[in-house]
Amino acid sequence: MNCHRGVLEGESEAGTQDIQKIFAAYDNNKAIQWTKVHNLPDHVYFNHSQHVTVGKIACQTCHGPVETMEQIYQFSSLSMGWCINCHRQTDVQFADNDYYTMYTKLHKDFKEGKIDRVTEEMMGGTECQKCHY
Amino acid sequence: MEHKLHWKGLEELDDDPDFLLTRDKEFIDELPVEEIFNSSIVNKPASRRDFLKMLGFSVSAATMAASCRIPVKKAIPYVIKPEEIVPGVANYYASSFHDGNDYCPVLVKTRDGRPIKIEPLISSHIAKDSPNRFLFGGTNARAQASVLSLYDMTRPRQPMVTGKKAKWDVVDAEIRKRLLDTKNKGGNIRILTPTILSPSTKQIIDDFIVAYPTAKHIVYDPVSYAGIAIANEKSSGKRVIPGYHFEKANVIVSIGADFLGTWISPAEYARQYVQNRKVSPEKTTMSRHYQIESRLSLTGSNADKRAVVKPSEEAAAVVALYNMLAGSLGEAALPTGKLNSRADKLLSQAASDLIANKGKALVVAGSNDANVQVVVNAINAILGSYGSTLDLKAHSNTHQSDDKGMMQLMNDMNAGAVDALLIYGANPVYDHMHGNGFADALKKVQTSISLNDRADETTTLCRYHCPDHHYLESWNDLSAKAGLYTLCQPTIWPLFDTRQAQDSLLRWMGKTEDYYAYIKRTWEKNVFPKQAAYSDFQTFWDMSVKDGAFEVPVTESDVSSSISTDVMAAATAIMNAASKSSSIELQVYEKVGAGNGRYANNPWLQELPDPISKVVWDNYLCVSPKYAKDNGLKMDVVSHKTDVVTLTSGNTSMDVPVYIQPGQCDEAVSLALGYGRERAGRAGNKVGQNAFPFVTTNGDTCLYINPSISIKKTGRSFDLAMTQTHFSFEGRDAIRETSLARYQAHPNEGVEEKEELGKVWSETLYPEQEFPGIKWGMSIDLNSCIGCGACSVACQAENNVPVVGKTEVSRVHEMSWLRIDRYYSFPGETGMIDKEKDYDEIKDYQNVQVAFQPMLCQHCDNAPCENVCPVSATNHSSEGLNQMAYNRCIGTRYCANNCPYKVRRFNWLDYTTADVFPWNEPWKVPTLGVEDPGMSDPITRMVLNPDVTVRSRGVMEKCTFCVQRIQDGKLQAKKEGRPLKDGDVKSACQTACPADAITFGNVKDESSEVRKYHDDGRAYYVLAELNTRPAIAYMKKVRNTDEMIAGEKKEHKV
Repeated sequence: MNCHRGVLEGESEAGTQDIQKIFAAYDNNKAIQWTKVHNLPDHVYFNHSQHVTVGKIACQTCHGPVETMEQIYQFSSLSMGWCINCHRQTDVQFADNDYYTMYTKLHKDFKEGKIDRVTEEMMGGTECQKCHY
Repeated sequence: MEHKLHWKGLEELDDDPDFLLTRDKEFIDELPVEEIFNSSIVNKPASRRDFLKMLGFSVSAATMAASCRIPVKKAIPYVIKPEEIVPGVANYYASSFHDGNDYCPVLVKTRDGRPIKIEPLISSHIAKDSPNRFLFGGTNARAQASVLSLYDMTRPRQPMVTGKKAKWDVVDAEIRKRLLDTKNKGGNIRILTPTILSPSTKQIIDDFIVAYPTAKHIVYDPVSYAGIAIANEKSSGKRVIPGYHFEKANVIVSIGADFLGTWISPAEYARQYVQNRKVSPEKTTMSRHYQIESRLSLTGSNADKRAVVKPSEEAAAVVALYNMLAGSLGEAALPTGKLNSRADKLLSQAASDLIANKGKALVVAGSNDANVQVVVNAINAILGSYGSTLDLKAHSNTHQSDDKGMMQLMNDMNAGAVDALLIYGANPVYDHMHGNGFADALKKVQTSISLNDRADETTTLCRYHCPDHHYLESWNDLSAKAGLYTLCQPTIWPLFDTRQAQDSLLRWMGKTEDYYAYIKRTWEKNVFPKQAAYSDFQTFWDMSVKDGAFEVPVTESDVSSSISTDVMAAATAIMNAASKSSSIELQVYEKVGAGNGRYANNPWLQELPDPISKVVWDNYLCVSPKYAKDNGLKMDVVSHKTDVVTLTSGNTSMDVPVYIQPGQCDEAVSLALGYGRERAGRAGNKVGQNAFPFVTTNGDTCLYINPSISIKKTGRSFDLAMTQTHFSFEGRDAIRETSLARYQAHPNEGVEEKEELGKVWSETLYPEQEFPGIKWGMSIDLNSCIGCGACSVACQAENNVPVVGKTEVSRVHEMSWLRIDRYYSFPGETGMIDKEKDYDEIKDYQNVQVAFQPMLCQHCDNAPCENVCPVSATNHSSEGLNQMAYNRCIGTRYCANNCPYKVRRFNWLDYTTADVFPWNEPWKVPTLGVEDPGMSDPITRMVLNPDVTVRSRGVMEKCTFCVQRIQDGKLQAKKEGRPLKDGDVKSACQTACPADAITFGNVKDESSEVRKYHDDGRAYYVLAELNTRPAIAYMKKVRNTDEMIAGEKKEHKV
């Protein structure tokens, strides 16, 4: 049920009816065949917890305004260029997560003002085997 | 630093010209340029019809391509998600692996409800000083490979009656009626099983005998250790196999026992053995290991000092050793035969070492003759081994074979005195010395029921087949040692309509209780009262299942003080038996991979190169180089052709290929058991020849030596696939070794050398690599590595490394990411040989030394492969990984050509059928004659690790340092918001190693274990002089010899 435990009604009558289908399936113990909207090729490893729990990225950053979508659509291209671009531009939770303490030089540079941000790219986040293995 | 001559095979040592031609090539396959240009297709002008065909193809192909849309993927989630399953996250369950022979507590890794990998179990219930602790924490190749057997397509799908499919209730009713009828008319029922470790199963069999009082239980193991048990019964009154403790021994003498490879409990003994083999600046002592044997075993290849004798002389060697020890105590000598002078000299050295280390010594022998083991017991009693290196209290429960009982059973069956026979886990038609005789006798049994998990040679002759689950689908309890209990729990819902054998037995007794409830009840009654930690049974049970193991103190009184033996009678019997010896003798043995043949249908084990011969997919007759020369036998390593001989003993005769094996006794040949299966399955049928008919007996026990054989050359040859000199180092120096005496004098030799190396490494054209956070590195201790191959199979399981088959291995197309190089050398007195001058004088092929070196991608910081890749498919990561992007690789193979370590593997064919899609499956088209779906079979594919890409054809691949585990370990630390700890990331090869030879970690972390090894005085980098800057430090091998090896450096030419 996930989100629809809370979201019981759609914005339109049709939406509410569709949501009812989920309840019906649950009551009849029958699984729904969903059409998968967000597909990644098999040779890409993607982990949500890395981005949500560790990176503190909001769902909407990649999936778009799901809360207002009448029907879910693919918001981002999910291409490699799109991934890499984000890894180049987004700040990492550098100061808050003790995992990153080992990056001593980056910490030093940051403190000394040589750099004003730490991105995933600076820690090898654009290398092949971060996603392909 | 000595640089000794190490060679992988005789062809390398002798500079065989054919070999030299292939050696220097990374790829032996010639490009078929000429064939193409000379072929009729090219020379013929294209006809109009061809043009139309081509046009037709390209037009339709273009249409196909144009009409391709992004496929719509469906996702079907759980309606109610099982609590424990998070998609994409692995679950681990404690369990135990036992097949009647091998025992290993394991941790089963499951993904989305299917087991994909076997890890060693580390149990918190096992005390740090427990005598059983060495059973935990390591695995062997067979335990690693057992997960593939679960998904074997040749497993039975349902019960069968006389070869026809049946339903369980019908089968149950029929069998129950037949058993009751047999009981009512007083007919005999026999239950034949291999050694059973499970207390609950034993209880069920006892209950069965109560329900059917004419039933009897016979224990039969294909490879028997009954001689040891009988000898212990004579010496101490306990018919058991003792607990051996190699870790407590300073001197180990093994006479024909391959305790690191196959003898009794090799993974456990290997773990014990290396405890006292590891050296460090803090501990510069190690055990000394003497081995006397007739073939080069895995154990013999790890020995410090080794001598060869004929198989029949092994008994004489035991008596000779007794005499030397007893002589020093003033006791009378026993009558015995004469040994060769080298063995005699070695034994007297061993004897004085043993006496000097009383109470810290252990003598073992491989013979299954109880008389020999009686003398061994007497030797150990003299040495004070009982209570120290030998434990009769915490004894082993494995290998309880009753060889005589088995013979009696066959006689009874032949006499028509057995009315019903239940076989559970035994396959005597294949693996008994009189297998054909057993098959004939089986016809006289009215009700024959097989509970085996395979339709094997014996099962197919039985009336009923009630197939058992795989162990990963079963509940069980196992007690491999007195006081130790481990549990086995199902990790997957049964794949087929099979049923656990114990449940079948319960049904046939008319019980409705299932086996799970039965085990719990047995534990509540028998195990729960032995502990005090838990007051309530359910909690105790839950904790035991979670932990997988439970230990209770052994309360039996110690029997070590009452060892009494009649050695004189034993020695006389040995003398009488020895009179049968002849000029050439046969020894049959188990291989480290194939074992007794139970796993013949496991392609991972078939393709694991034998640790010594490096042959895959076959057994062969090992002969010494001298024997081969004298008898005109040839083995051509380059063409893989080897002579075939006819081996005859009595009425048994078979054609077997020869393998020329350095280290083999000139007067002995040896042939591996476990091959020549007829009904193993797709992969295992008709691989090699069955050597079980060559087993002999002395009336009490089976003997694995056969003195009355003849060998005749057939003039035919056979293709034997061997990886011995594949991926040659071309004579460059990869192995370093030293003597203990020299190590003690110069423990920091390597550090000085590394300082020298620093100068070489400082000069480079390329910019310096920077590692902002982590730098991954590995260390491999050559002193701990015993060469068993567990790491190799673990790597295959973890990384979806394909099996390629015998023909492909012959073409040097094997895909193993991690191979173990085996090097021979001569125990030269100075450790150095000038090949051109003096090696003829010292070369004695019977007495070679062996060194093993696991070889995998070295993740060089100055990697030669990276520079030559035209598309940068292989490049360096900021964590020191040599990365491989499969999708970027275009298959030029330049990288493999430029790799000095020869660790890159090219996917020549689509071995894992990654390219197959449903309408492109040739085995579904009967006219094509392709029967084997290989890896494309959906059930077989369940073993694949979903975290690792299944590589396709035309792509280069190699060790990734288990990058999926690295990423997982890092993610765990990040999620917990803590720094990465040493040990957060362990590679698959590291966890599988029973000897803890492999260490992995962050070398930038100064407190990490791997860093400690990198800084150690024994550390060296292979081919460091090339300035490749490898990330793997090898720890020099130290042999425990007193010789002071010369220190100067000397180059040799090869």
